[in-house]
Amino acid sequence: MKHKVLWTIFPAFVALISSYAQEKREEDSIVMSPSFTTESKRLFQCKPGPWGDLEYYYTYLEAPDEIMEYVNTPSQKTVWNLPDKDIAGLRYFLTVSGVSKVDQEKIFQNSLPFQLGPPFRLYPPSEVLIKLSPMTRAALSRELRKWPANRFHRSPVVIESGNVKEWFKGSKLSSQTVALIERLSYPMANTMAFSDIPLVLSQIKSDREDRLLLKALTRTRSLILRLRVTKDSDFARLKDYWTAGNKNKDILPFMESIAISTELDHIDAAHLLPPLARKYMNTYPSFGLGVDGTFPDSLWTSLNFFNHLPENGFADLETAMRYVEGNFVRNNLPFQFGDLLMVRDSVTGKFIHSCIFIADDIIYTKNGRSLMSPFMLIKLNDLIARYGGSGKLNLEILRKPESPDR
Amino acid sequence: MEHSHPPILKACILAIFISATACGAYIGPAQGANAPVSLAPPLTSGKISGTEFGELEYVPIILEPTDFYLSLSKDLGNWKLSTVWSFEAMDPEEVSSILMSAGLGSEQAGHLTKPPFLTLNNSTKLFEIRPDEEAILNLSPGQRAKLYPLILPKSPHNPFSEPFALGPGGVVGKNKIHSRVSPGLIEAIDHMSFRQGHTVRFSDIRYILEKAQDDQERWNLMKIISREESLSVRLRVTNESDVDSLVKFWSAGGRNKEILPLLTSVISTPGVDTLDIVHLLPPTPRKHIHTFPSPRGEGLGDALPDCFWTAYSFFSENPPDRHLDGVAHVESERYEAAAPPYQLGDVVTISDDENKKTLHCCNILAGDLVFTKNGHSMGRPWSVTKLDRVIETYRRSDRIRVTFSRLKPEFQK
Repeated sequence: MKHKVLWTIFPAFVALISSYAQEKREEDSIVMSPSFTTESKRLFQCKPGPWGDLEYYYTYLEAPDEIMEYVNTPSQKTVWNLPDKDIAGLRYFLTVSGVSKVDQEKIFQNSLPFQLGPPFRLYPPSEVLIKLSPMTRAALSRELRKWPANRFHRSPVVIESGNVKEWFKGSKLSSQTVALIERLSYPMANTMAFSDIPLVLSQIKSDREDRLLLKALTRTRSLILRLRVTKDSDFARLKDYWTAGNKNKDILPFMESIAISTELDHIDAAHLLPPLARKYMNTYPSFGLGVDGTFPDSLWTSLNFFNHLPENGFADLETAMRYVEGNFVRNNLPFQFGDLLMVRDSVTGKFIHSCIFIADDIIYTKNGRSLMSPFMLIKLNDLIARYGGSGKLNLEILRKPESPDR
Repeated sequence: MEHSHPPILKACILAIFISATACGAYIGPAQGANAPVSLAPPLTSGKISGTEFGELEYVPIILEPTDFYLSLSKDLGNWKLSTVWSFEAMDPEEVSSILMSAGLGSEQAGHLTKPPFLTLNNSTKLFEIRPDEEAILNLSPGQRAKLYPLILPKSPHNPFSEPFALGPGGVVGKNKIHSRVSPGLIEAIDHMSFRQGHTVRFSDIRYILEKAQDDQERWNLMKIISREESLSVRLRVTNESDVDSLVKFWSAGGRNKEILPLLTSVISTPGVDTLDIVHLLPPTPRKHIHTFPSPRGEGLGDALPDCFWTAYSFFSENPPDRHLDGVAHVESERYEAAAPPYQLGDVVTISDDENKKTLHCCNILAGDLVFTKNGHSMGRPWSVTKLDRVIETYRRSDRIRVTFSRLKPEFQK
């Protein structure tokens, strides 16, 4: 399924962006069947570019136990909050979503004791939930996510790869549980989502398995990026790209060291990131990051990307936006290392997310302020899958001017 | 840089006395005044393995300071002033005595303390000798070692009072690869290098820069002299990897648990063969590894991160500025003597057992690999090296003490 991201940035660059978007969409169709050579060697190649010969492999991060301690296990009872509908509206909604009349009756029967009046809540029984088709599930979810009370639909588990079995490989979930999650998953944008956590919990019979499930559901797909180097590598070009106009000059000594090394065949791209980004990469925020009252979100992460020491004011949306206005200039393709990408709702212009362009279609991001959201490298497509489920997005490319040579 | 032993180190029963014999032939006490100085081989690639930390492969890399740092170098601006030896003395005879106390013969001393070599600087009131080329070149390493510390002023910008530290391999070791200067200059530096204790030093920077062909070669020369070795280290991950042991070691008893999500994930990812240890370090060393201090980074005025700041901030997610003032209180209150097997982040303290001065601190990474920041200079990077190399670098006397300490359990995160 093609995502609905609208790659509009500035009128003058629409054609260029559209071309890029098309390229991305075409790539989506093969995103889960990439160029790894064998099943046991899952190294993916990036497209060639000024960033050099990059390769990566995926790795799945799960929230650490000390954070999971604060996560309450929900009830196994599924509830749909639909506060804007009367009985007739509820029936219409279920019908157009694809729920059969028979199943509608079962849902209403199961909800009767609670239907004292609006705002209505429906309590669909497991036997109905389990047999819904993915398309029906998707249609229901599109409506349910409008209301914050439907938290599992509002923030579903997004399986960016689209491959549920692959996603949970290496987790400690039983094959039956993974199979159930796969059955209950539904398409969202160009990926798969999962919201029926209560239903899966109803099939689990121990507290330990409850906790394993919740931990596994925090999975997110990060990647380890490597730069391959040979004696033929164009190190002058590589230095130019990765230092980003002196904004990332701290890596120069390391770049020069690999240029003269005769033994290194690849380096981890963590060494090419600015110090603060490297410091946090592939980790979850610690409680220490919240001592000022707020935890880092995507803007904090993006605006501090080139900073040595973090500016905590960027955790405040208004402050951050003022800083963006005053310190960045709008740009167009091609992306450059360190570009700030601002994701906005294409209709309302509302800010949704920000991240930093790294290379090819790889970005550095922290998805949301949650302690369960790590700082990581991901594919831009994965980001769009996560944020593009509700509609069209605009992507704005912003760049900080070059730093003086010091 | 140096400070007195804090109580914990005095009490440390695990002190290891490193004798000259124990350290091998390279830095035996019998180094003569004229012994060659560049004897230690450069770091080479290799691997170490241990049941706790797994199998680590490492490859040497060379770090050179940035152009920005070099552009601040006084030496690149001062070389045209030629070599000047300044002494505080009552008269030329006293200057001659100083020279002879450093091992120069009476004839040579007499020669250098006559016009046109000797003048009195009316501004500084110091006697100044402008030695000719023959006098500079003919000094033995032993004479340089004795004479140069006597040359005034005591200043970070005086290469005689603050000589370049060339590391165990001397300039030859630094110049092993990618040399961009003429071999003659390297030979001359090697010839003019000397030891302070067991460490290889070089002070005749003005002379050598004067001999360079042009400004480009002077620039390249400064880069090579300022080079520092480091190791690029990777953890080999195989199906046979002992997950529990790796998790236990690299999470350092809970002090480095940030890395657990990635480590456990990578171990379970099929096909992943190696993982750079940058991903296994706590946040602060991960931020700094293989980089030089930045003017935009940690530091307040002339208080810059040094070995003590680095060693005692290893597990600090955000090292407090207070660590720039000194870490003695942290060391004495938060650390305790560590018993082997040594763990990730254990602090290694190297001190001179004769004058009880702490010379250097660094952190254990795994096995004999350590994370170190040599000195507070912005021209010295955070690097990974072997413990014996660090000991050689700081071994100014035959009796040094190496102690190990560990963050107390109550200060774990």
